Amino acid sequence: MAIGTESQSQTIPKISSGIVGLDQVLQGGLPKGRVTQVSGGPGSGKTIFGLEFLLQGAREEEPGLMLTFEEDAVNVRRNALSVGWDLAELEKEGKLFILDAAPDPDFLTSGNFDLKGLIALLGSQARSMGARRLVIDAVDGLLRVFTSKREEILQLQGLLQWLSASDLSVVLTTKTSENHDLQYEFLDFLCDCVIRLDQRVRGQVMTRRLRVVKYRGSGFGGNEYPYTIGEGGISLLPVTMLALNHAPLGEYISSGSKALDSLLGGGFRKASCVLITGVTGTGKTTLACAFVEEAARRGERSLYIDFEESEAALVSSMLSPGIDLRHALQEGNMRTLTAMPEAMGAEEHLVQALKEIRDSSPQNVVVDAISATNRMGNDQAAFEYLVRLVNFCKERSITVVLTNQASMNDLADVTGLGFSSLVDAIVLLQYAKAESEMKRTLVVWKSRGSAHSGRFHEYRITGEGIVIESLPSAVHQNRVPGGAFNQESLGQ
Amino acid sequence: MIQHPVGRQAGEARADRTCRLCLFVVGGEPNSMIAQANLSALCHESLPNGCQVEVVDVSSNFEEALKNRVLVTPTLIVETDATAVRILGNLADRSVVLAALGIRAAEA
Repeated sequence: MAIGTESQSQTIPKISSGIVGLDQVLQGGLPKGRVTQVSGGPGSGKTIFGLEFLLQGAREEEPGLMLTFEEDAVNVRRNALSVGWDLAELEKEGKLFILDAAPDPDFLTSGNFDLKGLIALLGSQARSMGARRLVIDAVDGLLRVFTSKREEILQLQGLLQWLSASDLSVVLTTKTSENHDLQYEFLDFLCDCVIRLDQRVRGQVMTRRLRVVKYRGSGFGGNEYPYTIGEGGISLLPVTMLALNHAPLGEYISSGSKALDSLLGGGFRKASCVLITGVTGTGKTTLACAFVEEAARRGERSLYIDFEESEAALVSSMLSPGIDLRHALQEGNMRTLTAMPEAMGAEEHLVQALKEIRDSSPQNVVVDAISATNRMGNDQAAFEYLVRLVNFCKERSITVVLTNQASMNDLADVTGLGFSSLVDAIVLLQYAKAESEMKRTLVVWKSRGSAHSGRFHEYRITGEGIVIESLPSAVHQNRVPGGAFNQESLGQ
Repeated sequence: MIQHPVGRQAGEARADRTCRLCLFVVGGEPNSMIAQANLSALCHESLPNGCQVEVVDVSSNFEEALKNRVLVTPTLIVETDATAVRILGNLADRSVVLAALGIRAAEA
């Protein structure tokens, strides 16, 4: 939900935060020349936030100053290197200045003192380098020298007054304790923009959420946005603000099985999202791999996201139904991304997937199997992962093939994940008891934008892949126009 | 019986040791002015043999302040043979400074 007006005739001046996705949530960026407070617990990314803000400044020819109270300058540079940033280089160029400000722990006091010296120092240093951005990390370190709360508040007010009056754009970080209590609640009132970084363990997996608590003078996205910290810093993935700029469904491409293509009215449509669902052993992976192999023959690249088995195991198991993925892999027409769902949070899985897609620009993406994603932490996380991934692909005309392990021929599983509106075609694989044997049956349950056969067909998995039993010519007379099967019939 | 000198005389006995006082101020600011006055009085009254005193105005010489990590003002850095001590504040409490200099406060 967006709070405040989306587009005001007079918005306050803003500057880019440098953080992927955040400027969108802030409807432009952080308030220019004002103070933003970023609070969070240990490891939540406050320092990285501040550094990204300064790095963005460096990119835009706005030199920046970092006042560090938590880590000394050497450690700040080292930590920055771990996300791929070379601060020393920027310091040499005069675009960044790191001020080691941790107070000497051994000090005595005699009488009153104040932050006027700091203010004088900041002013002078900022002037001498033409700084436009300032980060104070963390303000708690600064206030440690004062003995009374009242004194802290007074001094902080004095500092903030000066910061607001200066034309520096400032990010102040503050620490929250384990139970997310703020040490300096009054700071919220003094800052124009307040952002919370929250890090907690949900379902045994650590998840990170960012929330904009306040933004004076501007509208902003008020949800909690999952974020990750990795190579290149913080990435925010705001799902509700995704503009649904989906590419239109394109030409027919082969599903990997000519017989299935005719059942689909021509094949899969480019840029569509296809769901192959069935219980274990029905051949979902076989079908997905047949698709990839055929795509490679057409010269197309595919990214195979595998939550079930390793690349080697996949290649090996596909040999018996006559699919040889080695060629596609060697040619670079197939890349695999394998990971255990539990290995990391859903946000990190997504960031990895999106990075792979950006780096290798595949025409097709396969996710095998989406049912495994609820091991990423919880159903909500799995849902968000899938929605964002499919959205990302559809915006780029990438065809997405998803496999789903249903349980016991239960069709409800198909829509159980709740994103049926994103799915354009569904191929349902089942076992049917016929006389004294179990037969495999396949039906195209849905195929948006094309005529498809709604009949159940028997199929076999042979050494030549999936063979769909005798398509009688009668099937042509039984063609059902796309859309005949509505959503209700899918989920009961 | 020879008694060891106390108070003022004790200060005199230690006068030949190194004694450097560097006071960081922000020119014109109230606490800074009070600190300068207090330091001046302290030197006259308790350090008859003098002490090397330096006053740095952060607003005109911020590099020196940076070098010494001075953020709070006034800050007095006391250097003796034995130690370097940092004292924050306007020096209203003289005994703290004297203690840092290794001088026991003069007893009446």
